[in-house]
Amino acid sequence: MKKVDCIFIGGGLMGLASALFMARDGKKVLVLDKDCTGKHASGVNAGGVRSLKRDIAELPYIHGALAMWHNMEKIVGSDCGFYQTGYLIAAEDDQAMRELEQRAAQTRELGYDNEMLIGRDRLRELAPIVREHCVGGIMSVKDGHASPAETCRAFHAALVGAGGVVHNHCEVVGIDPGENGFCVHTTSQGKLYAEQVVNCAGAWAGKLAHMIGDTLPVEPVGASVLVTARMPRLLHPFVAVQGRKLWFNQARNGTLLICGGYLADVDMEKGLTRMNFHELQACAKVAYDLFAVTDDITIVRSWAGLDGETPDHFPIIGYSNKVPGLFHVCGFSKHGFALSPMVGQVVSALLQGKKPEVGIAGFEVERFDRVSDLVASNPIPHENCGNLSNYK
Amino acid sequence: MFIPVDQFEDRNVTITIDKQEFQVPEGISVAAAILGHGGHADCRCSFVHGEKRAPFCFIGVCHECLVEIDGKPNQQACLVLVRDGMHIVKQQVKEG
Amino acid sequence: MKTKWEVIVVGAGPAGMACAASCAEQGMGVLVLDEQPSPGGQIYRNIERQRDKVLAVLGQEYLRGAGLATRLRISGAEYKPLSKAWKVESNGRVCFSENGSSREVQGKRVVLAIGAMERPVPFSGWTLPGVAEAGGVDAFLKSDGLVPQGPVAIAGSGPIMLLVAGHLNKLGVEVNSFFDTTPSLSVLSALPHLLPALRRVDYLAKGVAMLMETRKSVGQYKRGVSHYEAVGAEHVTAVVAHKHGKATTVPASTLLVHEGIIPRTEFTRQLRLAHKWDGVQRYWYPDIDEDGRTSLPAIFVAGDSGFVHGGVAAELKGEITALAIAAELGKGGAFNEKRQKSLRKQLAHELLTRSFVDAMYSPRPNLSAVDDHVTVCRCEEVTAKTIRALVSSGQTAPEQVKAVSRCGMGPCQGRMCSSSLIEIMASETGKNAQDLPPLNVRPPVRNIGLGELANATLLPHNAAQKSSS
Ligand SMILES: Cc1cc2nc3c(=O)[nH]c(=O)nc-3n(C[C@H](O)[C@H](O)[C@H](O)COP(=O)(O)OP(=O)(O)OC[C@H]3O[C@@H](n4cnc5c(N)ncnc54)[C@H](O)[C@@H]3O)c2cc1C
Ligand code: FES
Repeated sequence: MKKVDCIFIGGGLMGLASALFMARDGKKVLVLDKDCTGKHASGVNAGGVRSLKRDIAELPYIHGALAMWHNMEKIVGSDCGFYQTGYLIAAEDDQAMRELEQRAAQTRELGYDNEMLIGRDRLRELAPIVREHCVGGIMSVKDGHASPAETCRAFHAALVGAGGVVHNHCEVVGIDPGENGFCVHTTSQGKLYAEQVVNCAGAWAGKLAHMIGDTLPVEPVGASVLVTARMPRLLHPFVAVQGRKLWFNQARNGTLLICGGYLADVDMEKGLTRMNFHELQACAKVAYDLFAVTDDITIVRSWAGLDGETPDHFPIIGYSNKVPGLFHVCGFSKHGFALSPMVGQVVSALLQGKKPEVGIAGFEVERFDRVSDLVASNPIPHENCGNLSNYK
Repeated sequence: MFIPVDQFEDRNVTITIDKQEFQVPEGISVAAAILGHGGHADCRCSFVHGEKRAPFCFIGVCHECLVEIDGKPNQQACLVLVRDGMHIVKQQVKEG
Repeated sequence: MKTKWEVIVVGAGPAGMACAASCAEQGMGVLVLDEQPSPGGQIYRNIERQRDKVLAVLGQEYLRGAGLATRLRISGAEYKPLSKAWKVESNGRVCFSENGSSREVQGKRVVLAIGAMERPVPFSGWTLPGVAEAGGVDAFLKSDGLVPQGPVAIAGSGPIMLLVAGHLNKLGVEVNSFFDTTPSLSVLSALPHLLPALRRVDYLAKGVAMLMETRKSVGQYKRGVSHYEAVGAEHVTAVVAHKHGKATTVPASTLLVHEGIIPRTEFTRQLRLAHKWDGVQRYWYPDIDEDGRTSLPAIFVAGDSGFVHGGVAAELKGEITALAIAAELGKGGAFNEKRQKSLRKQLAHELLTRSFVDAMYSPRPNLSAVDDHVTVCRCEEVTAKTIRALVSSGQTAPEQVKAVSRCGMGPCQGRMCSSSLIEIMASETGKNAQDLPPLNVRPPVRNIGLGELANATLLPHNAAQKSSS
């Protein structure tokens, strides 16, 4: 078996996108998935591409990614179902409005001009279904919605087109680091050899790290979504309400997607999620409180997916500080879909020793070494993202 | 279109279908009211292409019989009984 | 209403009625949920207040349900009509919706007796108004006293078609054509099963009589039809039948189709129970033992939702399950063992003809040979072409095709398209249908209102018990 430049363990978007850009630079890459590409978080998320109120640390990534989303046809030969919807967060009272004003000022100062404040009338116009007491809000027009399944399909196809190889139903069961790279033991392809190995195993990233003798604070988490029957057009943007756990949007086909980081039960033995109706009921209650048309809304289905979560809800990107040549891209904590194309570019550059377009400061795994005991007992509060980034 | 096998004597329930009033027998389903007494051959339009659709399975599985009942959309006409004063609207939700 | 029950039965067809009545008679607290307005299931629908004219047509076999319904009514079981179960948990919890509001109840045992449905098989024009399932129209006749407008064409295969044709004919409906797609080879493959079946000469004789009668009564009876189409702009106006490459067109106001019966597995799949594939009838059925036990101690399956054996067998299976539950809950009387034995014997006798009939009316081999332009998923209007294109672009798992195409994502939650999706994908990939994982089923298994969910009365979350959705 010939050695490849890089093996990506995990055929989610982090693996597919990173591998794609590396393959386009002429490198030999292999993507392995124990199930199939896009089976988990990347293929089954809510498809939200949001810069609005994203954590400050992630802004360079999301803005890079947004530019790519708007140009997907050129990048992977499919628009990935992306279309511009805009994102909007409504304020229920003056206090909430002030918080949004502060946020807008903060991003403007950092040089991002996409977050605009809107008044009551504009809010009514854009999202007439938000209950009347809301006083205004904040909006980012560039944000949008993509089809996770189509995105995974397109990235997979583009990767194969660029000479990359994907092995589905190929579980990694052991990894031996050696002098000249890694030997990766798999269930269906025997031993595979690579210069570098990337851990992009999503919900299984912690488990995988452990297999190689590293430790990562990435825990599996199940997130769920409610989907309704088609409805006449009620709104265009994704809508949230400041301080409340809820995202609401109407897909192009007229169905509403209702979510907000409501958890599903996780069964890691079988690698699946089960709907938790106490969570979904909480979700429905918030929607019922905030939107005026809820009596007409029919829930047709629900779904859930598995992602990997870190204690501070920021991803982990960078080389392992214990196993040389091992690279981690994981822990996207329920909001990585939107970032994935940009993460792919950055990771591909780093793996080739090039300078990436944006840095990874703040995302390295070392941050947990420093604060590991603190994190265990007391998760870091999440100031900047205004408690929304971990909903999505 | 469907035809009653009997002359129903007791048409004592008043409903409307698309705003038109009908007297129908008690205890029948909304699907029966639409197809057998309301003179309609269909009950909704399809979501994507807006084609006319009618009940297909009559046992609650196909969801082709979705109508709006008293303002509530997506009700299965084959599983709901008529009630005096009920307003039934053939559902016209289309994509977009 | 009580929250805790010893037994919760979902479905009040023959299996559910027999099971619930028997459990209640043995002193158990029983709740029966059914989405229909009165007990009977599909076969005995509206048995309690049937119109005389319809009764005369349905005959003796239908009347059998009257005793069952009465037995249920006086058994002491709490029967809730117009109640749709939408989630079943492995620990015996059931959520259901009644009159726009939802609540959760807890049973020590849950019996899923939700019956069967007609196998949906897509063909050109099958979404046109005027096209309907034959068995369904028969059920509509029972509940609402309506018959379809003639001229009626009937197409497909299976004993139910003959039955429906007979009913309509007796009610004066003009059935002008009968297109039988039963492959003539089926007779050969059914022959080995004939010997046991001969012990039920009564049954076979009835079948033959029905066939003869239908042939006489319908305008034209065409055998060996390979496939058929409905034609029309906004309503069916004609039906085209294909035989040996030749097409016959007949005018029709109604096309009734029937392609056999398959178990309804939405709850056993929602619970992620093991299922087995029946190669003759080509369907998935839950893996249960002879008492209807699943791998989950709280969950039983009775009647046709376990395997399609028809109404009389369903009743017997319901009763057998009731006795097994009684034994488990320490309620069984002294005679239960004897009764159980005799019921098993009756069931065996009832099933003598089944393999013969199953083989005789096994689904036609060209189920997946759907023209590209045909809509497979009726709700989301996904065509066979879209599915095939996705398969050839490398999507090999049904879930992937669903996610990209939306096939199976509409209000019927995949009930009408998942079996054809699998058949088409199997033939495109050269795989066996049973090697393709069926689509996931997640609750709510029935559509419910958002406000209804917000206000539902749920039982407290029990962290120790894993929910099974
Ligand atoms: C319900 C839900 C809604 C969400 N909504 C949004 C949203 O609206 N916007 C947004 O930006 N983000 C959203 N997210 C988050 C986003 O989907 C994820 O953060 C992102 O897709 C993570 O990508 P990934 O490649 O790290 O993981 P995944 O896509 O999960 O990929 C990891 C892969 O690794 C494979 N694997 C694991 N172990 C092994 C092994 N030993 N051998 C081989 N293969 C292995 C797995 O099978 C899996 O396919 C949502 C997530 C969920 C679950
Ligand atoms: S007719 Fe099929 S669900 Fe009502």
